[in-house]
Amino acid sequence: MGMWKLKRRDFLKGMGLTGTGVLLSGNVWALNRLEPIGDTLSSEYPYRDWEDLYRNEWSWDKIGHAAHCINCMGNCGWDVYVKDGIVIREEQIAKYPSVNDKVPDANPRGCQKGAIHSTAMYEADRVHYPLKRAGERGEGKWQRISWDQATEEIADKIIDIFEKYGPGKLKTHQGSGNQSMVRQSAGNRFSCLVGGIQLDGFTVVGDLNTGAHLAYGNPLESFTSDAWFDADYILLGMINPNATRIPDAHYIWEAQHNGARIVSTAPDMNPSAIHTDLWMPIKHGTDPYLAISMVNVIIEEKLYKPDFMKEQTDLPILVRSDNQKMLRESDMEEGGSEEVFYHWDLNSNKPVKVKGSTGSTDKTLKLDNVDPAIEGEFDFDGIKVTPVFEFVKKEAAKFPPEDTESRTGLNADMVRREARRLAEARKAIVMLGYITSFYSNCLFTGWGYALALALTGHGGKTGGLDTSWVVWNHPRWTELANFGGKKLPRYEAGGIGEFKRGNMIKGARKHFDNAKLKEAVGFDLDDMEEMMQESIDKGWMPYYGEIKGMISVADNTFRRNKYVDEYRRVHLEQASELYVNVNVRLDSTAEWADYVLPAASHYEAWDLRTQGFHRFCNVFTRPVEPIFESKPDWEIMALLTKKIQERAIARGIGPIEDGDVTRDLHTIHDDFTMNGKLMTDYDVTKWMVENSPEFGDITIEEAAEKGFIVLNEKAGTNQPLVKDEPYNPFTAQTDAKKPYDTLTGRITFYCDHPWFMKMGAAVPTGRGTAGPEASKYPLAFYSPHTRWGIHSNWRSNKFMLRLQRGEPNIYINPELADKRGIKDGDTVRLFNANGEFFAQAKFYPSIPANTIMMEHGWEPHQYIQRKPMNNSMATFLQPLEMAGGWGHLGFKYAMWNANQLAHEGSYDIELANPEDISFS
Amino acid sequence: MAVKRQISMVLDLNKCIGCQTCTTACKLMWTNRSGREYMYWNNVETMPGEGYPRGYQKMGGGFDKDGALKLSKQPSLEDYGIPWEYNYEEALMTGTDPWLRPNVKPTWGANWDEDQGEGDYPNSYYFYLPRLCNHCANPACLAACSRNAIYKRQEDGIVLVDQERCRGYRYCVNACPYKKVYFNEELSKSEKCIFCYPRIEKGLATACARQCVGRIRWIGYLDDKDGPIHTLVEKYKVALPLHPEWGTQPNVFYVPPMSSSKFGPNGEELDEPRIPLAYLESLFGERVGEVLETIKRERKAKNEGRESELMDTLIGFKHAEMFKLS
Repeated sequence: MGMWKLKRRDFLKGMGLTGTGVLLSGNVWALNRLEPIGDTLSSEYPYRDWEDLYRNEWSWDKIGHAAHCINCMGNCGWDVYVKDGIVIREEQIAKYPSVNDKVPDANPRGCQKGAIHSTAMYEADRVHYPLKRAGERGEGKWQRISWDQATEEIADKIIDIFEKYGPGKLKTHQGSGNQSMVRQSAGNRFSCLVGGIQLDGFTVVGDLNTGAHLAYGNPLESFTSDAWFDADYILLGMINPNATRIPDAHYIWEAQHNGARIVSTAPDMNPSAIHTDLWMPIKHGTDPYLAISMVNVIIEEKLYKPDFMKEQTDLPILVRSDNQKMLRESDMEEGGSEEVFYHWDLNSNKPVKVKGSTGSTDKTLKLDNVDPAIEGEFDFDGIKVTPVFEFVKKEAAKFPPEDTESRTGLNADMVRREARRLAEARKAIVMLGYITSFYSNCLFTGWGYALALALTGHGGKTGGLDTSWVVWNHPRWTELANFGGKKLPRYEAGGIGEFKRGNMIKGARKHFDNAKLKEAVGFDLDDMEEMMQESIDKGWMPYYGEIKGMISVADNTFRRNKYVDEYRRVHLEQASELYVNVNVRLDSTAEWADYVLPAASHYEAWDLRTQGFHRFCNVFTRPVEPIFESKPDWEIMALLTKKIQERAIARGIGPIEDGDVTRDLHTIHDDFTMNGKLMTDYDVTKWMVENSPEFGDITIEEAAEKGFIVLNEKAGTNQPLVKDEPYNPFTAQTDAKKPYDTLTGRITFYCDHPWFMKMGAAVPTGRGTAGPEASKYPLAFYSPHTRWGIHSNWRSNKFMLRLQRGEPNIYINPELADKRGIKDGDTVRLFNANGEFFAQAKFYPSIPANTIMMEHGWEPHQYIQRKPMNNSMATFLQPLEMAGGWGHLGFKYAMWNANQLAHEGSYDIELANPEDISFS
Repeated sequence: MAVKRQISMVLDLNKCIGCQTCTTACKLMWTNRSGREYMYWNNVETMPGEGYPRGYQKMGGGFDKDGALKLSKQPSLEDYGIPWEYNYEEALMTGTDPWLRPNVKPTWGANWDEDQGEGDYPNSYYFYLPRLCNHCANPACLAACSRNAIYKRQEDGIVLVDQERCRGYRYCVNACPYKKVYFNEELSKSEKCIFCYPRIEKGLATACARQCVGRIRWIGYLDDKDGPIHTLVEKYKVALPLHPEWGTQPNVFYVPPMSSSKFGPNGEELDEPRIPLAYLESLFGERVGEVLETIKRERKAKNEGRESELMDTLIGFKHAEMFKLS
């Protein structure tokens, strides 16, 4: 043990410090009246009183609870530590109970963003007081005003708009930033009462898995993350959970330790792909080709499971050979239903009507003694008919992996092996994250994988499609947010609303070569515009046209929209009368407002949140009071409605006709608050806790003490949430034989909607995206979600930025960088027909040399010259996602309408000119 | 063992998702104030990579074969990364700066080479390595301290720098080959990870471990035969110290990462892991191959429905049971 002591002198000598250093240290000991200590390694150290120093740093006055109410499906319960009235840190509660002993528990849900929110809430971009602009819009000049002045002026403007233009001219869209019950209810209930325009929150940002809706009739019925654990095959189809599903990702790697095979398909070897058993380096945007090739192998090698296909899918439903339309009761019987279909029963060798379809009175999937044919051609009273499966086979036969290899870049043998593994798996899950719906072929990706899963019998407890969302049943919340259904906002198709009102066609026309676009995606911009208009004209998709005023809540709309300068220009021009922004911080959208109303942040208001991949309702207990003059959203809307009511009465305004309802500005506050019953965030939280059946018998005091509520069986929307089992989707269908919410009552793989027929999409098929092939710019580009923010939330937090490059960056393959003379850390210019942006180049050998990646969510004001990526990003819509009038296809909020796309454009890159990037 | 008991940590790199929740948990717990702003007592680095501080693996320190302390380079603030600030007020509130930016041009930070790794597409490779003080059995910092201000607590083996006795000579900073002792310029003292002893004393795991959402960390006493550390380090021998050749005898251990196969010229899977075994051996010693084989074998057992105590431990069914602090 003495060795190191002898050697220390040599060590110090080496540092050139022996002389003074050692002598000095000896002197200091003496001066300090501390005796030198012989052995601090293996004997008790005598001077340990100082240890209280760090013990004292770990102290607080009180602990509250909160989650974070932004658009993240994490929803994690935190203890919030308060000292001297200031939040000093947060730590996960980490006390969620186990579902059962065979499944890992959910603790400690949370991530690095949640762990630093206590710093963000005090950052200098927080809005402290009601602000009124003192210069031109966007000039950055603000005047601090009182709540009374702000709400009175806004109230009068709102009434002016009603008086001058009538109802329907206010866009009151509440963005995805408010996902908790009380906050969300505030903005939505206000929208109901004024009849404001509220866009579909999924499709405005391109989050809707339309393929899943087409197949299952419900894109929001999915797995709780603990249900991933017992899978033996997980394909991370288009998702990077290690970066974007941080609190849930552990279940995947625990499943891997439990023996599951984990496979990733992604263009770059992302942080999730590194841990998989196989990473399939798929070419950007070609996923439907992989899905349909897997289907090809499953069919060709006869790996399919007929029992599941016959009962759960439309694959045995008969289609007319003459016109390729499904055979309907109305074809065969006078006055027959258009929503009743046929099977060919092999037992009786006769056609039989299918139970469980939309038009059927017998709501079951049970086949009883019918054995429907899935193959063959039959004659039904002179009409030749054949099952859907024959069409699926024929289409899939066009896509053997050997033929799609040139598109996907994936070795055909590898694809064959994975198709077999998927087919053989006991429980297989294909996960598709929200990046799926940012591509124009989203429909085909989701639909193709749904087919691969259905053919191989994966549904309910044996797996299926994970669509990254679980929706629970909350009758009181729905009632509160939608004003009991008595009056509703103008719910609008999200992608269409943003695209049209934002004049995004202009950017699309500048960027894309129309002929090449048609070749790449099957339609051009003329087709798309024509179909969009048809959809609106036929009433399939609602669009409410020009606005005069805008009240934007929890929505960074001038950050997230594509071709954003024009989008902002048009919105500000239309909302000439009024633009109010309700926000916690001065984000890139608030910066342009006439009035900014400061909202309380996550730890400053009472609230509840269940949205997440789990069964827990987290409780926000207002650990600290709202900072400065900020107020909880509910209180803001209560105040605003109070003023509107006062001013309406003073100005003699009565009920205003608006279609079937009246907009009653003179009673709006009484209506909003249930006649004074729900005045505060606490009132609403208490009302919700104590009246919601899915929470069981619990008081707000008990809920607040614990910080969370475990949802009971009533929370399941499609089937009960079983107490001791993870939640698998669609077990009501696979086990209890309840029909799916689709036209045929079954998982749908045939769509004879005229548009689908016309575009060669009656069954799942391969389909590409625009990308470089449809423009003049050679580099594919995609902007996935980041691990460092939830969209723009926390994107400008310094603790997060210090763990990145400190400024917006792109990811580039070193080989491409080398060709363009770019070094790691250089500032580069990305450009295309719509403009340019600057960013720092970060080397990433795991991305192909023809592709650039930039994680999304940077605030425009973080970019050099405030030129954001989204300004030069062109977009369009997938026309098929605007189809309606066909069974379950038609405008359904959060279910079916067109996504705003994000990854269709392309760029070129060069080193930035130093003069363009200087700070002056 | 020099101490009565040694507390220890195991980290399963196969479960580390690189989210830095541990880093930020530690940051707000200890280092967002008082001259510690540049420090990350816990950091997560992408490997292969320069790490934090930049190039620390090549700086030296630790002990040579004869047990003599080895000299090392003293890291500069640039090597750690300057904790830059932002012009929120000027860019957003007063309109006096045109855009939001850091006050120094960022050239290096604690996670600068995130996700970079090595190799050429599609055969690139990288993985995450979280690091904290190893609370070594033979700490070079302690050996180098001319003040004898660094000691190992006898009851749990936690290595501490006595903040009253320390005079800020920084020999410890130099001697630690992991560069896990930091100099606090504001206080003129050296500081480091304290294994959250105020929490440990109350029966609570360290912030980095309890807040680890990937559930990759186990804490317990090395000699506790019923604890997870013993199961992983001694019984199944799947947890290895980082750079054992540096001679400090770390008490933090890692389960090395598996990796998928490399691709051949036609995109076919080769029978060769994308992370070269030799590279892993250079980090965790020669037993890596054996450990990876053990995990492969035990995973197969689970896949076939057989029991595996090892995999059940690594799954960690109950978060609270990953920490055995008595």
